Amino acid sequence: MKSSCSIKLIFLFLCLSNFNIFGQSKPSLICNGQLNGFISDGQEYILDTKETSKIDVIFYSGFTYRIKLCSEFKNIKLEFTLIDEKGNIQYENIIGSDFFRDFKFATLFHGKFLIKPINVENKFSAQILIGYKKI
Amino acid sequence: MIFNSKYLSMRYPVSFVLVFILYASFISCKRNHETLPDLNFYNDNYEVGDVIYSVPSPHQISLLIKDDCSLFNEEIFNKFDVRTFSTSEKKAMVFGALITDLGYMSLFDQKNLTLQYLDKIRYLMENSNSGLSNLTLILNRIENNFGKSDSIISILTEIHRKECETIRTSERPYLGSLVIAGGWIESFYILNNLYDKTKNSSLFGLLLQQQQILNNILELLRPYYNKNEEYTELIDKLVEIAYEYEVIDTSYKNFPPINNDSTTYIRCKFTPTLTGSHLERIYQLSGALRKNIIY
Repeated sequence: MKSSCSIKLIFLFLCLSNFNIFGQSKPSLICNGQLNGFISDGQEYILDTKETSKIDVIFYSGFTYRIKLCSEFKNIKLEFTLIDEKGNIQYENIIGSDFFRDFKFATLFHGKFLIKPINVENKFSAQILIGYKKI
Repeated sequence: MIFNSKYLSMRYPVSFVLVFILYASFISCKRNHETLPDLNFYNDNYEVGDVIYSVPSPHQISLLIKDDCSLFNEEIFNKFDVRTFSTSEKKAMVFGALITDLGYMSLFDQKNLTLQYLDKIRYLMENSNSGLSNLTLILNRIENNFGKSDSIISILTEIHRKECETIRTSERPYLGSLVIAGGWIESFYILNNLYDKTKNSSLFGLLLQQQQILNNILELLRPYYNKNEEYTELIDKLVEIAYEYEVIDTSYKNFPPINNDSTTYIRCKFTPTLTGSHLERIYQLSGALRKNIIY
C-alpha cells in the first residue's frame, strides 16, 4: 500500500516537473527545415492555446513569402485568415495540421494572421514558420 | 546517493517526495522572479498580450538595397573590439547586428571584411554559451560559400535561428528580442547611410516603410521598459525615432486579392509620404542609436 502510494507520488512529481516546476514546457518544434527553398525570417512562432492566435506580420513587396503551419494534432481544423491593418480580409481558408501558402504583396503590407481552432476543446500546439524568396 | 530509488521507497517514501516537490517549487519560483523582468509578460515567442509580433529578417533590407542601388559602403564598418562587450544584453544586440552586417557583406562579395566579422561572431558565440556545438563547421561553410550570397544568407539565418532557440530555452529567453532589435538597428543604419549618399527614391520608400517595423520592435521590447537599464535606454532612443515617423501620412487603397493554386497576390496598397527634413533627423538618430547601443 505504502509502496503504491510512493509510486503515485513519484509519478505526480514527474508529471509536474515536466510542466511548471522547473520552468515552462516547450512545445516541440516540428516544422524545422520544411520551408523548401525559402529562407526563414529567423523567427519561430509557436501557438499553444485553445483560443484564436494573432500574429502581427509585416511583408515587403518584391518577395514571395511562404507561410507554413505544422501541428502534431493531426485532426485539428483551423480557420486561417489574413487581415490587413484596416481589418479587411485578404485571405481565408479552413486548414489542417500541415499547411502552407505563398503570398506576394503589391506594397509593404502590415496585418495579422488570425488562427482560430474550430474543433479543438483543449489547448493545442502548432508551429508557424515564415520564409521569403526574392522575386 | 540521495536519488537512489531503493533509499526513497524504503525509508522516507512519502515525506521525502513531498518535501522535495515543495523545495523544487520554491527554487523554481525564486529563480523565475530573479531572472525574468515581468512574469505577466513572460514569453519566449515574441508575444505581447495576446498578439505575437513578427519582424522581417534584416537580410531582406540588404537584398532590396542590392536591387535598388547596388551600393556597398565599406566606411559603414568601423573597427571595433568585440571583447569590450560585457553584458548579455549588449552581446545579444551585437550578435544581431553582426549577422546583419555579414549578410550585407556577403551580397557584395566582401571576402576580407566577411572574414574579419566571422572572427567577431566566433568570439561572441564562444563566450556566450552558444548552443551551436558545430560552430567551426558552420563558419567554415560560410567561408566555402563565398560568392553564393543566397547560401550564405541561409547559413546566417540558420545561425540566427539556432542562437535564438538556445536563448529561447535558456533562463533568459527575453534576450531574443534584443537579437532582433540589434539586427534591425544595424540594417536601419545601413539603409539611412546609403540613402544619404545616393538619395535613391526606392531607398526613400524603404526608409518610410521602416516605421511599421520599428513599431513592431517597440512592441517586442515594451514589456521590459524600466525593468533593466539597457532595455530602457534602447527603448527611449527607439521611441525618439518613432516620434519623427509620426508625421508620416499614409494613403490606403484596397483591391481584391488574386488567388492561384498555391499563391495569393495581395493587391491592397499602403503609400506613405514624408518630407526630407524628417529623414535627415532620422538619419542622425539612427547613427546615434547605433553608436551608443551597439558599437
